[in-house]
Amino acid sequence: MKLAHRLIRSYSLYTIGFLIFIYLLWRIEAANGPGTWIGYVFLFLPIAVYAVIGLLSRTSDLVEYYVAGRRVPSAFNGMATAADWLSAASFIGLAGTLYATGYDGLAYMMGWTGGYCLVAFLLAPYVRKLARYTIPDFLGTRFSSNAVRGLAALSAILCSFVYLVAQIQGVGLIATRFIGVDFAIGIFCGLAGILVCSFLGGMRAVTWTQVAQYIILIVAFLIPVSMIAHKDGLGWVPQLNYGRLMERVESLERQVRDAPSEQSVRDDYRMRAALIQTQIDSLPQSYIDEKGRLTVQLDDLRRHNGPLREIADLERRIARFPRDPATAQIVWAQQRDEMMQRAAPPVPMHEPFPAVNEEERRLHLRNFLSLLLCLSLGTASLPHILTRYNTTTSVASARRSVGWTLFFVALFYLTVPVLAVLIKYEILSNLVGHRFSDLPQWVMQWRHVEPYLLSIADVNGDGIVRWSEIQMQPDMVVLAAPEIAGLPYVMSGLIAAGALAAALSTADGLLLTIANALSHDVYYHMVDPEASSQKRVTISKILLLGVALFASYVASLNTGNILFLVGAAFSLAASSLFPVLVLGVFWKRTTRLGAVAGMVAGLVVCIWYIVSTYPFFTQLTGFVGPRWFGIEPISSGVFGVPAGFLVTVLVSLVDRKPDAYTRALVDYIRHP
Amino acid sequence: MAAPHHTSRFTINPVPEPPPVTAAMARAHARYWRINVMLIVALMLIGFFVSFIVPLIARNLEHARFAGFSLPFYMGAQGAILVYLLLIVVYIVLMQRADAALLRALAASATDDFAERAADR
Repeated sequence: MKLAHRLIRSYSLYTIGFLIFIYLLWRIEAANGPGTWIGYVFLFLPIAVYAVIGLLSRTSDLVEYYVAGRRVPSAFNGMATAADWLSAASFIGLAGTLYATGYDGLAYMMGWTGGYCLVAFLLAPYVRKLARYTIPDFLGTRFSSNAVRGLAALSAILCSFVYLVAQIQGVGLIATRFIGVDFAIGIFCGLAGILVCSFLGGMRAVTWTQVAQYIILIVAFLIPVSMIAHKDGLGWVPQLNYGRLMERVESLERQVRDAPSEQSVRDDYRMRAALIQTQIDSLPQSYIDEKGRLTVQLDDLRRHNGPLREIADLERRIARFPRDPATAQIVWAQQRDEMMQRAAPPVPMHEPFPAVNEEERRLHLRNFLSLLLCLSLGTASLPHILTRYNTTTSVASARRSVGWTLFFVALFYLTVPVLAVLIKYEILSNLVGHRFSDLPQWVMQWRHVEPYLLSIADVNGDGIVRWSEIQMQPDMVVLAAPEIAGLPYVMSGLIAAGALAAALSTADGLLLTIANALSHDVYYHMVDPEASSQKRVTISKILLLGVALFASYVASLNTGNILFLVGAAFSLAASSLFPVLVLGVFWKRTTRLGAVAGMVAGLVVCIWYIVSTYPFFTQLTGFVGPRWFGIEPISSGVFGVPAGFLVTVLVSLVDRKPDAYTRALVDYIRHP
Repeated sequence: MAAPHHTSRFTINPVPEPPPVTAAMARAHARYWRINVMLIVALMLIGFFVSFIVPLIARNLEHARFAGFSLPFYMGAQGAILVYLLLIVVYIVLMQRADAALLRALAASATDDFAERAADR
């Protein structure tokens, strides 16, 4: 109990200190006006704090390094797991997704929280009971097999690595946007931030920094949302009563859908789409014509000494012009589809599964449910979350810890839809219907700095902003929220600090999972079982450094499509690990051979479906497979998980029965 | 008891060796496990209803309102999360009771064993 009291005292002091720090910065800003230095302070001071915590928690003791000494109180482990869980995608992306897609975005909300029920019921207590260091270690011990261990390590590394690259990219993006450094330097800063937390102290350091990071990220999310809500007359706790605002948003949405001026904008888009279509129809002649027209125009401008800016503009357009008619076909088809999308009437936020006809609607519903299923199963099988429950003191404490985790995660997720509704209300009431001549300051800034995130153009030429004329990338909703609502710049800095904490904490957990799978499962159990514990910790630290550098290198390539890959990581984790983790505890008859076959089957089916249906891979390989039941590639786990279960069960039944030791071991796992 | 598959070369965090189990203990274990599984099935059915059945019938519920929201939207945005949290809390509380019951049963069976052995002597 003494440790818990000490922890409560120090983290309360820390929270109060952080609040005072925000207040001071706010006063300074009120006195001196905003400046970019606020961005620097908010990005670097927290990193310095994490570094101090990391340094204080340094260790070379094996149990401390791998599982933080197994003495983390359940509430603190819940906080650390919540920080581990809330990634850059959750913090920056989720509210934007809800803002843009409405009901569809709820699949993420439900999937990412519902998964914790599975963790509490099916996984965490048993993982803690066996008291191993990693998840592959748990499976390898349960099946007394290095083949199972190796396969589990492979899938753990695979899904964690994809996820890790996305986090590092997120850190790079935040650094670029708020202090204006180069993307590569931003990634380097992120790398340093990640390493100071985990390099010296392993799980012990990561646990205590994650608690600190959770406090920062939750404060950074709740305070701005409360301030915006207070401004809109909802009071300081909008989570309870934003239904009132929702009603107003719904009536504004109806107006936007039916107003003739909005319809004229959409008609304009439809016309543009038709124009592009005629161009596509008359390929390749239209390609030659269009390119010729641009070249003539440029020559013309040059001859008449036209304005330099226009010349540069035109040169850029020519440089970006499709290489040949075949590429033009693809590029123009994309442009046409985008125009058609803009021409579609806006969908109200609360409407489930909008579609033009019944068949489309069923497809939409099917995809919603399968995404939901994949996300919850994936949540339950992500190794970096499950290992966290190894750090608790007992089985009962692991169970309680899952409850705490969902509590702390829910604090965040219950606020996300509030922000989405608030921002939609702000845009609908304070931007739409106002004159182009007096656009708010934030529009000018974001449009100028990040033209691909925000574009507003007077399409129908009436001088008034219409909803359909605003093209806003969902990713900017959270980052720009304080500016959209007219809060002081300190709040923007705070949000950036929160986003950074979310990305760093998740990256730490992932990095440690990968390095530990390599050092404990692959190196110690499969390469050199005689290694001393000193050597094991050293190897683990070296591997950690190596993995971090490699992941940063991959992130610096900025391959894009990362959001898809993050989703795919959930499907991968679910397909390969979920069936064996559950059957290994709940069905004594599961055999080693069954586990190996099931993991391979789950992985193969999942990867096969992604590679044969996802456009990026089909363009790469030139092979396009059928879409089973019209399911999107991101939800490939819907096929991988049943395949894993089926194959594990069938092969186990054919195999010899497990021996007395294994049956006794499973019995041992089942009881506290 | 069958021999464990690993030798005891792991000195730190060794692979557990399941202790021998008497018939009475096995009965207590079986009861504990039955409670656990039944509880899990019941709670997961509720969770399944909230996650999958509600979206399935969302279009029929669209006009039902709750605190200003359309009901399906509220269920997805906040209701479901609160239900999940409740399910986990129920599970924690009931399992802690089951843990205590199991401990009592094990202690009772241990004294029974002791008495039996004393009587044999």
